[in-house]
Amino acid sequence: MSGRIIRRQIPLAVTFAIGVIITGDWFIKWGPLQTTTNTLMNFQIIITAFMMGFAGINLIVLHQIRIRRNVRDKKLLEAFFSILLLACLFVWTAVGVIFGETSPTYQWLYNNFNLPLSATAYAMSLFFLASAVYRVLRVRSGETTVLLIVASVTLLGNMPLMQGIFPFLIPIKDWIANILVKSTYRAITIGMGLGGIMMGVRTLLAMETGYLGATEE
Amino acid sequence: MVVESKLAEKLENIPIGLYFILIIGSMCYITIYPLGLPIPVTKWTRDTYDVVENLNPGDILLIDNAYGAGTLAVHEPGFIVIFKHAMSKGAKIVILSTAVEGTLLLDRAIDKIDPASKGYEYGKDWVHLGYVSGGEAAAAAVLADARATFSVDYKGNPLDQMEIFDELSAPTYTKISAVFVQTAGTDTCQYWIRQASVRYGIPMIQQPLGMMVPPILPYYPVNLQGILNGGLGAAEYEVYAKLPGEAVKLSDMLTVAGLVVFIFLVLGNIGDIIKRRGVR
Repeated sequence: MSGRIIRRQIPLAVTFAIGVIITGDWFIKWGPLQTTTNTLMNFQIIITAFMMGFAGINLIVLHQIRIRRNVRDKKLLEAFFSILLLACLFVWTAVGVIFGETSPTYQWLYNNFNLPLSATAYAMSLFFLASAVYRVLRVRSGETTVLLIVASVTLLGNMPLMQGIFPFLIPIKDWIANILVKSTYRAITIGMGLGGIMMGVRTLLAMETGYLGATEE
Repeated sequence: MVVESKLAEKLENIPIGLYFILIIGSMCYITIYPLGLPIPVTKWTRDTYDVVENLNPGDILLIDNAYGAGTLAVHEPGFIVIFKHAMSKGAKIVILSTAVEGTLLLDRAIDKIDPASKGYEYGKDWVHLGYVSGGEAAAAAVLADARATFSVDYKGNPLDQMEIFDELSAPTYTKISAVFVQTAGTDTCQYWIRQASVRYGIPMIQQPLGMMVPPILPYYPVNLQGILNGGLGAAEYEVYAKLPGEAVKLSDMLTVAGLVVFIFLVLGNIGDIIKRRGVR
């Protein structure tokens, strides 16, 4: 009984209380309520930062298991990748803790490793997209023809040169963006908003308890 | 018929390596020899410009540079041109990062702007508060009381000793005249709109990636007063504000790479159509 209260009833009560305070602050302008909300918001900032450290520990646990398993199965390349990942994690953390994240040493590491690697990985997506456009976007049916026309107009309309050569593309592109895309996304956004409200109300009323993890009823 | 079939086969199966080489080659050429193609300015960009243009001396512009190294080429020019424009209006600039990498990338951009050379003093006219975790909760907390959220700047200097920090006392949202958000995440765009624009009515401008514009379009122009459409938007802003920078070169590249993609799209479809006619 006491275990159920600790594992289930208290978290539900805390969720309800915090939900009511945060939601209430949106509608009621009252000093003490605003101060409490600000404090709760700052709690979340601290908890999120703590979660990052927790994620780091999780990464270490996960990859040391992978290293052992891959070494046992003679998958040395996979084991090497995990070792590399953990080595980077330790080096970056050590440099950040010892010298500080704004120190020249940390900046040097970031500018010479993270920055080019991250930029390269992102830039490579252009080639995947370009390849997909060439191989997949074909006129095969009515739907694909419409897709091809819209994609072509948007692609050409986003090129400054084409906007100059074919000025009629601009109103067509704007019509696609402002009428078709905007109305579609507005419907999706309203749907998501209504779903979010329903989920929020269910969570406040303890009808949605998935976030508590597995609980025996 | 045989000739047609061979042509269709060739058009449908152009070596992908050749395709990539053409894209890379054209982009390298443009980097070395910029074409200086004309850049028409869209309404989204003009509206963004108007928000910054309407800032008065002493107004505070809050910038969230929530971008990473992957989108640096898109976001850094946008940050630079908006910062320069806000400086020219005499506005005070408060920067924070809701993305981890944002803080690490800011020094590069600031070095290129060199605010000190324009008489902009750190701690008085502009400040970089650093990274704040928590996403939407962080945005809400900063707008409610920035002084309770931050005690030191990104280099660990106490903020209490800085003149600009006195102006951010609670309720902070009443002191902020506009918010500019740069991000590669749609959720970041949306929670800033919810917290700053919908809740407090603060004018909001954003620079997402080009492919992320559709999800934020429903908010424009009521809750979102201006959109910079990725790198192209930054280039348009540079042209419109007469502050040319790196985005203009990016715009040339965008045109040429896009043209190569379009040509291949057409060739692939011609091959496909010829092939299907042959089959019939």
